[in-house]
Amino acid sequence: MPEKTAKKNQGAFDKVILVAVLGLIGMGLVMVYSASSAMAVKIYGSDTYFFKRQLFFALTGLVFLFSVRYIPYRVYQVLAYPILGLSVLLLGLLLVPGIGVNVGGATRWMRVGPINIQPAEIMRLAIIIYMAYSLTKKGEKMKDFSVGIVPHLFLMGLIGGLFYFQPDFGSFAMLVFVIGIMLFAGGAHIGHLGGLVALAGLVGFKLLMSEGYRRNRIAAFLNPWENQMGDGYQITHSLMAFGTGGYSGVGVGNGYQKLFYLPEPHTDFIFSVLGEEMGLIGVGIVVGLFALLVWRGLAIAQRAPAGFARLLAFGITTSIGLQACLNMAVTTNLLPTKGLALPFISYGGSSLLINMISIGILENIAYAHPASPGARAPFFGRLVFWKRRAVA
Amino acid sequence: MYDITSREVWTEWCRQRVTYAMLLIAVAFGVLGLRLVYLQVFQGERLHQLSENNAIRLESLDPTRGRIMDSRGEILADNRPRFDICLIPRDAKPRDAILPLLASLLEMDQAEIEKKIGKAASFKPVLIKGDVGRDVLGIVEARRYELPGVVVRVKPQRHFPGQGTTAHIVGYLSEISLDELRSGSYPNRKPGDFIGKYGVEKEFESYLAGRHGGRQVEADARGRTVRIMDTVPPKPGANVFLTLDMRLQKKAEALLDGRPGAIVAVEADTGRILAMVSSPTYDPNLFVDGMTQKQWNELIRDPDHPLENKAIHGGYAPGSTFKMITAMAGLEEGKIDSHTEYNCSGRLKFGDRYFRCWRHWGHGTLEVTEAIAQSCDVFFYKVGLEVGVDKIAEYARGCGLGQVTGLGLGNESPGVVPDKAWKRRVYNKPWYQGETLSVAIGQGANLTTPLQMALFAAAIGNGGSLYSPIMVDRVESPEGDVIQTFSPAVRRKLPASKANLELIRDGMWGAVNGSRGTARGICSESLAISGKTGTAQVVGRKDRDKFLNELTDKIKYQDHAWFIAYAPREDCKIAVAVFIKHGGHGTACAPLARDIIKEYLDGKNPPGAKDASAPAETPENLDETDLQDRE
Repeated sequence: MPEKTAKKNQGAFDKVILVAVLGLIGMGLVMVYSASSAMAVKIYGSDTYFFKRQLFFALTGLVFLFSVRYIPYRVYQVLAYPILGLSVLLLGLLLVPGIGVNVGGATRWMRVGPINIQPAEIMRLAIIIYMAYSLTKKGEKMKDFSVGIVPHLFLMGLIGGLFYFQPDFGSFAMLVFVIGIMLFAGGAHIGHLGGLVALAGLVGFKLLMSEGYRRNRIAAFLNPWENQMGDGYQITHSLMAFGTGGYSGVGVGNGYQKLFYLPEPHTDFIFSVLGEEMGLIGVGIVVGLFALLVWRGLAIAQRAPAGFARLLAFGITTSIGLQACLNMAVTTNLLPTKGLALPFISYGGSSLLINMISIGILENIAYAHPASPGARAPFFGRLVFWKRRAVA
Repeated sequence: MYDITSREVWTEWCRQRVTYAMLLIAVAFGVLGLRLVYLQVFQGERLHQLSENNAIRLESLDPTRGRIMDSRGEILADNRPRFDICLIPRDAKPRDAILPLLASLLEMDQAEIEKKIGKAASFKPVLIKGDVGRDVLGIVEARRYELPGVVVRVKPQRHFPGQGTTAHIVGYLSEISLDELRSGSYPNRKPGDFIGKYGVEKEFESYLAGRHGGRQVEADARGRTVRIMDTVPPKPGANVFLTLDMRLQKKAEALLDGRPGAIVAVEADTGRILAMVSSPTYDPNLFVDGMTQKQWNELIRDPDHPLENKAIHGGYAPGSTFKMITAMAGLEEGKIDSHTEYNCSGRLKFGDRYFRCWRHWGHGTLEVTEAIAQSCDVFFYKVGLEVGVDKIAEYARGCGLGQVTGLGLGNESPGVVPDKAWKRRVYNKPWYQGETLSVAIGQGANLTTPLQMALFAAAIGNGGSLYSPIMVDRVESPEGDVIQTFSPAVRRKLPASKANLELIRDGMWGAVNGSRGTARGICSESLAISGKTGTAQVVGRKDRDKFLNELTDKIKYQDHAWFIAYAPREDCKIAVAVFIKHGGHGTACAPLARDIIKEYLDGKNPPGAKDASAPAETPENLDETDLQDRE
C-alpha cells in the first residue's frame, strides 16, 4: 500500500469496536450493580460497593484504552519475552505464601494496596503477544513438529504447572484454547494439531476425573436437575433465570435468582442474571455486541500485514470472543461449570483492565493499517471460497 | 495439505485460517443464540414454573411499609398484624370432621368453605377467612389438634390509627390493579400486593414501599418447607414525617364537626402545612380491610363527598375574601389611594340593574381600609369598574389564584380566575361589565381552593412572600437517617408595594379588631388576629330567600362561608383559611379560625398551665354566631 494512502486514513478509531466495547461495559455496570447490590449490602453495608469499584476500573480502563492505542504495536514484538517473563513471575509469586490471597480454596489473586490483581488475566495477554511473536519468527517452519509445536507445548506445560498449584483450571483451559487456535492460525501442521487435540482431550479427561469436585461438576452438567441440591445448584438456577426472563425480562433490579447464587452472582453467572432481568432482548444485545466485536477484530486481522500484526489482532479478538462464548455456554449449560468471567461485563478489575488494554492494542493495529479506501468489508463467503481457489 | 515452501504461501495460509476461525466463532455464536432462544422462549414457561414449584423454591419476603407521622412523631399510618385462617387440603384429614368444626368456629357455612377449597392445589394453603379478630384466632389456636391442615398466616396490614382525621392527606392503600401491574411503574409488585392509591401513600410510594427480599426454601414432596436455605431480608420502607401538627389537625376536625368544609392552617413564613382537614371524612382503613358494596356506595353517593379533599380539589367562590385582591389592583394601578372615599348607599345602580351591598341600608362614606374591615360591596364594585376585570385577574394570579399551588398531593384544582380571554375561550361570549362587579367581590366565575386562600393569607401576613406549600417535612430511613428534606420556597412576591400591602393589612386588622369590623366577635388582644370574612352566594339573593322559605332541602342554597386570617399582626406565625360549604355568613367561620390560631400560639408559648385555657375552647362558649342556626 502506498505510504500516502495509508497516512491519509490514519488517526481514525475503529468506532464500531469502540461502540461495542462501551456498550458491553455499560450493560456490565448496570448488571454488576443489580446483581451485587443485595450481597454488597449484606457484606459491606453499601449497595454500591462493587458497582463503585467496577466503575473506577472502567474509567481507569478507558484511560488505558485511549493511551495504549497510541503505542505502536511493534513495541510488543520487541518486548515479547520480558512481558512473558514478568507474567510468569507474577503467576509464580502467587505460590509464595503470604503474597497470594486464598479465596474459597484457590489462590488466584494477589493483594497490591487496595486492589487484588489476578495474574492469570495478565498472563493471557502475555501469551497472545508471545505467540504472535513466536509464530511470526518461525513462519513457514511452523510445519515442522519440532519447531512449530514442541516449544509451545513446553510453554504450555510450564504455565499449566503454575496454574495447577493455584488451582485455576478455567483460566488454564482458556490459555490452552488460545494457544491452540493461534497455532492453527500461525500455520501449524493440521495433523500435528489434531494429534495434540486428541492428547489434550485425554489429559483433560484425566484431569477432570482426578479431582472429585470436577467429576461432580461433569455429573451436574449432564444431569443438572437431578443434582439440584449439590453441584447442579448453580446451573439449575441459571436455567430458571433464563426461563423466567422470557422475551423481555423481569426488569433490571427485579431478578430473584441473583439473590441466591453461591457464592457471587456478579462474576461468573452475571449473564444469567442479565437473562432474567433483561430477557432475550438484553441477552441478544450482548451476544450481538460480542459478535460485532469479533467480526471487526478479525477484519482488522485480515487486513493487517501477515505476521505479528495479524496474529496479534487475531489472538486478542479470538481470546475475548472465545471467553465470552465459553462463559455464555457455561451459563446455558452447553458446557460444564467452569470459573470464567464474561469479558467487559463480569465484575473484576484485572479482567476489565486487561481486556480494555487489549482493545487499545487492537485499535492501534487498526490505526496503523486502515482499510484501503473503497475496499469492501471482508465478506465470509468471498474470502473462504474465492481466496482458497486463488491459493490452490 | 498445501506444501509450505515460501513465506508468501505461509502468509496466505494464515489469512485463510483466520477466516476459518471466524467461521468457527460464527458457528459458536449461532449455537449460543439458538440455545438462548430455546431456553427463554420455548422452555421459558416450563423453567419459570420449575422455579416456582421446584423442590427448591423461592418465596418473596415482603418488606414492612414505612410509617407516616406528623411533625412531632405521632403515628398516622403504620402496620398491624393481620391473621388469615388458611387450610392445606392435603393435610386436612379426615375432612368430614374438620370442616364442620372449622365452619362453626369461624361462623361460616360449610358449603362456603368447600367452595373455597374447590380444586385448589393440594399443598398450597387456601384462604378460608381473612383478617380474623384475636378472639376467633384464640379459639382456632386452642383447638389446633382437632384441626390438622389448618394454618394461621400472619401478614402485616396497613393501619391508620387516626382513622379519618388525616385521611385526605395520608390517603390510603388498596390492591394493585391489573393495569397498574402492566404499566411497569410498580416493578416489584405482584397481584394481591397493596400500593398507595391516594395522598402521601401514593405520592411517596417509592419511599414507603421498601425493597422485597426473598427466602430460598427446600420443600418436601408434599410441598411443606423442610429447610430454609438462604434468606435475603427485605429492606423496610422509609418513614415519612409530615409537617402536620396533630393537635391542630384534631382541633380543626372537631371544630368542623362533620359539616362539609375545609380548614387549612399554614406556617406563615414557610408555607408548611400545619393542618389540613376536609370534612366530612372517611375511614381509610376501609380501603385496606375491604368494604362491602353498600359501604362503598354510601361513600360515593354521599352528597357531601367525603372522598373529596375540599381543601384542594374543590373550587369555591371566595366571596369577600377576594376583596383584598380588588383593593390591591385598585391601589397598585393608581385608581384609588388610602384616602379615596366612596359612598355606599346600600346599592349601586349599574345599567338597568341594582347591585346590592350586603348591608342594605348602606355603609356611608368609606376609604379602602374601612371598606375591607366592613366588607363593603359597593366600594369594591366601584373599584372593580375603575380597574377592569383583566387587571383584577392579573392581580388574582399574582396572588396565586387560578393555578395549582404545587402541593403534590394529586388532583389539585387550579380554580378559576375569570377574565375576558377566559370567557371567550370557555363560553365563546364577550365579557359583560356587570360581571366585573360580581368578580370584584369574589362572586361570579371566581373559584378558589381553601389552600390557595390560606397561602394568600400567609403572604399578606408575612409581608408579601407567597410560599409553595410543604406537606412533608422529611423522609427518614428505618435507621433514622434523614434521606430527604423539603425546604421552604417562595413562589413569588405579592404584586403590591409595602405601603399598599400595609393598607390591606390595616383593613384585615380592622375586620377583627375594629369597632365595626365584620369579625369583631373574635377580637382578642393576646392573639392579635387579622382576618377577613367571606360569604359566597350559591344562588342569587332573591332566589336564595325564596328557596330558603319554600324548600325543605334548604341547605343546598345556603351561602358558602369563608374566613381567612393570620396572626399575630407583627412577626406573623400562622395563617388559616376556614371554609364551610353552605355555612351561611362568613362570621360562622371566624371563631373556628380563632380557635386554631389560639391552639397553635398557645402551644408555641404556653401561657402557664395549659389546662387553664382549655374550657374556653369549646365551641359552645363562643361569641354569638349562627352555629346554632344550622341545627
